[in-house]
Amino acid sequence: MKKLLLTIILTIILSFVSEQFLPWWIIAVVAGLVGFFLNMGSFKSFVGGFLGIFLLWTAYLYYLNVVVNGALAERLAALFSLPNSIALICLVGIIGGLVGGTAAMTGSLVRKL
Amino acid sequence: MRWIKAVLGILLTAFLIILLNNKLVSLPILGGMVKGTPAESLPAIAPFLNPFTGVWTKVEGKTPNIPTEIQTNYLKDKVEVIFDDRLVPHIYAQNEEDLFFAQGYVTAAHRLWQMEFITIAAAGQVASIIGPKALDYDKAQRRKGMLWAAKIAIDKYLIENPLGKKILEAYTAGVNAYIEQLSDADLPIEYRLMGYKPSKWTPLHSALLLKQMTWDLASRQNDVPMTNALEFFSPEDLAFLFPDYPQDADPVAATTYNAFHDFQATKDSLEKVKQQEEANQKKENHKGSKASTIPDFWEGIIGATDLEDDEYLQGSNNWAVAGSKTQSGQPILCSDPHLRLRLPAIWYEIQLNAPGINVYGVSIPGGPAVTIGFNDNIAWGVTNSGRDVMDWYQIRFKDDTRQEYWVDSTWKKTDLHIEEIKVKGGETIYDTLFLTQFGPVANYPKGHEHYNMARKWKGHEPSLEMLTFYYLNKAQNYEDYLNALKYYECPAQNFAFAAKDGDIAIWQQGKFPLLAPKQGQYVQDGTQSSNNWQDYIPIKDNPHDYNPARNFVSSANQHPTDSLYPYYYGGRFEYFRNRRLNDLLAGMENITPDQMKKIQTDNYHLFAKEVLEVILPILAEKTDHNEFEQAALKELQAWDFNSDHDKRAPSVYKAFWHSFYKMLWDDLKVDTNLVLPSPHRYHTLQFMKYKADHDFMDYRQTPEKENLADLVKLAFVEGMKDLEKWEKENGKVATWQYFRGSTIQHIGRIPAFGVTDVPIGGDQGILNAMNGRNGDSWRMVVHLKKDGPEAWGIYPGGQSGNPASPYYKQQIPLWAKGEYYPLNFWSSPPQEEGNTKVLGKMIMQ
Repeated sequence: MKKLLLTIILTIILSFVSEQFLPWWIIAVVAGLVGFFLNMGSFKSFVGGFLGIFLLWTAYLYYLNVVVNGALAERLAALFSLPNSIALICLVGIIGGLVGGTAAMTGSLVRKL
Repeated sequence: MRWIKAVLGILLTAFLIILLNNKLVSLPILGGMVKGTPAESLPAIAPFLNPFTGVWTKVEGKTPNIPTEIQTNYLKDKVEVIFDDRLVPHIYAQNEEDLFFAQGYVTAAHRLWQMEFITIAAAGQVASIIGPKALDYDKAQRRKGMLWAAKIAIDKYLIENPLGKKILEAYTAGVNAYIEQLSDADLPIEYRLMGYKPSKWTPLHSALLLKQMTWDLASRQNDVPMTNALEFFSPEDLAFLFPDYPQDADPVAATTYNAFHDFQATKDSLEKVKQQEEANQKKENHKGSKASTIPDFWEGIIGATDLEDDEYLQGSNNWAVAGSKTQSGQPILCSDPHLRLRLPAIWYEIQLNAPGINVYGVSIPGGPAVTIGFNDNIAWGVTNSGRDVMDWYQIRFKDDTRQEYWVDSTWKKTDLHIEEIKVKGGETIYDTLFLTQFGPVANYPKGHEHYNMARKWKGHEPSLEMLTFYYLNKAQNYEDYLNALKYYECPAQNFAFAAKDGDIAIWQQGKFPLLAPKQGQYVQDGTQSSNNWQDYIPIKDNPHDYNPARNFVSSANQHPTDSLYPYYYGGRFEYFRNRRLNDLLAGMENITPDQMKKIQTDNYHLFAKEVLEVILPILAEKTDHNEFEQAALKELQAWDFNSDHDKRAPSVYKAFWHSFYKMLWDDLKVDTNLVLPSPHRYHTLQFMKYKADHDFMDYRQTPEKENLADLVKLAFVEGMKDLEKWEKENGKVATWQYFRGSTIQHIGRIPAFGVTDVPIGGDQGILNAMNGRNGDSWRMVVHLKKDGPEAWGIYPGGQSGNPASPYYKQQIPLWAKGEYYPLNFWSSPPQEEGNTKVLGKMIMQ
């Protein structure tokens, strides 16, 4: 459990920092490395990587769109035919989470070689 | 086994990244599947939507997302830009080059995508960003001569006019300074959605914007349908339904022209067009008979579909009242241009301040200076003239190659101009513009290429309208205003004017062709060069009023003059807003600015009132109304003629009128190959009043022969069926806002970036002109007080063009309510600290 929590926290912090100046897919590298070094089971690694990116992305989007200004999330939700901006934010979070999760899982699988 | 798992994991991760990092349509297999579906235009998902580098970087709060300090080599001196609480920039520069540079910079910072997109659309270059599906549109734009004419115009600015060159180049440098520092993360959302990047701004872009405005306002003509009308209508009906000077014209220039100054010179100019007049006489004599004597040059046109089916919806109001009619004793000027409403908004509000200039108002994003506004001494506003400055000539080419055409009994060489149309993901297409001495040939639309009609249009000629606005920005009195107008040729406008020193005036300004009576009403013979425009009406003879006895000047797109004006002109004019406006102004004394605002947002439907005077007695006679009709009739009878957004009576009226107009003029639609002009609703109303038993009153779908009363009753039943159906289908009461509709569309037609169901009243022909899509694009009231102007304004949109900004559509709710913002006219940079009206500051050096 401790390792899982550590995976999530490390993924969040390292992704947040690297995403400031690197393209979006750097999250796969970050989650993969965290998965590799923390060396949990492949399913747990997936959950850790998924939650790390999902939480980071949704929290940041929540801040931008609820605290700063929600106009864009509403308009983009309409553009993609989603019911509301929360649905859009969750969808973006899941997309990032899937990438983070598979990358972390792959990291742990490579470690086991 | 472990190896396989690890490799599968790597492959899955890579697959996900590739899928999310690319446009679906560009991927193998998947790309083929989404082709032709809405998903085709989807941007690459993760680059577009990820929180840190995706579109979310455009999310803005209340504080503007603009650098506070800019370093540039261009500027001669320091420039200070203060943004007020609605994000209106107030620019303080030390010289004019710096001033227009800064205007270009801040306008681009807020409206870059919009400015560029409009020029791409105007030039016919849309295929270069969205691919082959825009090719037909692009070709049509090229054949209108938009790009060709813009290039000629810009040469005139840059080669012949040092002042024009200076202003345009400064503005261009400002726009480019913004584009150069623009990072991918700052790129406006629309570029990312549509997947392209801004190109470098050039003076040609500014010229294209003006050409587009000219097209929107001065391309109205009806030559082909009117030519067909010669065949269809009896001479009597034609004169009744399409008169040159109707009785209620209530013209812009109140002065009558029977004492026209310098009349001899006018007569001399008119001599020149006498030949044309005789030719037209001949044409008129053929009316109503399909005799073989009809000159064969236009016979081929009978049966042609309409060349341009643009409904005439652009209008505007402006007026000025003299001090003798106001409470303060100082003049008040008002202006509200009605245009197709868009987001990002049509206008960009700005204050420009440098030695010799201190002006506030709205500008066209992409063009320098203020278009409608005021300064310390004067205020001005514009409305469209509505005059016809586009004529058609039928060209006889030697053969299908169109290399030579017959004119004055010889074959003349056609000028060929090659248009290059770039296509995204395809080969560049070349199209030829065939230039005759009358203008470019618009062999369009499809299926009618063989008509070979040349378009003669004032908008094709180069002119320096930008200088008019530049000089108006700096004008101090009536003389300066007159001097500024000299440069203005097209699209012709009514320039209302008021000055602090007490003068009020209005000039219909433009360069108008000198025409023989009826010239330009019908398609003309392009084998005679004498049919071409021979000269222009002298500017001094343009319709105008200067401090008239009625103590106000006004315009609302009506006829510019009464029938005593010695020059012939054609066009499409307004008959209701002008009379309502003049009635209100004539009856007012001790006027305050608040009363002027009430006029701009007036919902009184004069046209409905005059129609109801005819039809209500008829409907009251009808005894077999059903319950729905009975209730609707009661509502009409009780209506105060105000088309407010929450009333149902305007919808009842509209439903009736819509049916009635269709049923009355069904005779004009019998032959679907013959395109006829639609009678104006004003002339339709006259027809109801004076021709109650005319054959046209018969409705073709019934065996009986109807007269006016019968038709009104039938149309009411039909209209109420439509209304009932609407209410059932929409599940709500047909209040005016919903029945008429009220949409402000995004320029790129992205529905999520537009606004619908705006709670606002009004309609076409009402001073508050919102007709569902067109409406008051800017409302301005300026009180020219002795100690400096006091002004109010509002427009349906907001200063920022960024859909993720709180300033994107900020002003729409108050605009719909008919409220105004006081305008901050600051002669010097205001104190910032503790000033709630100041939002931010930018220093450029």
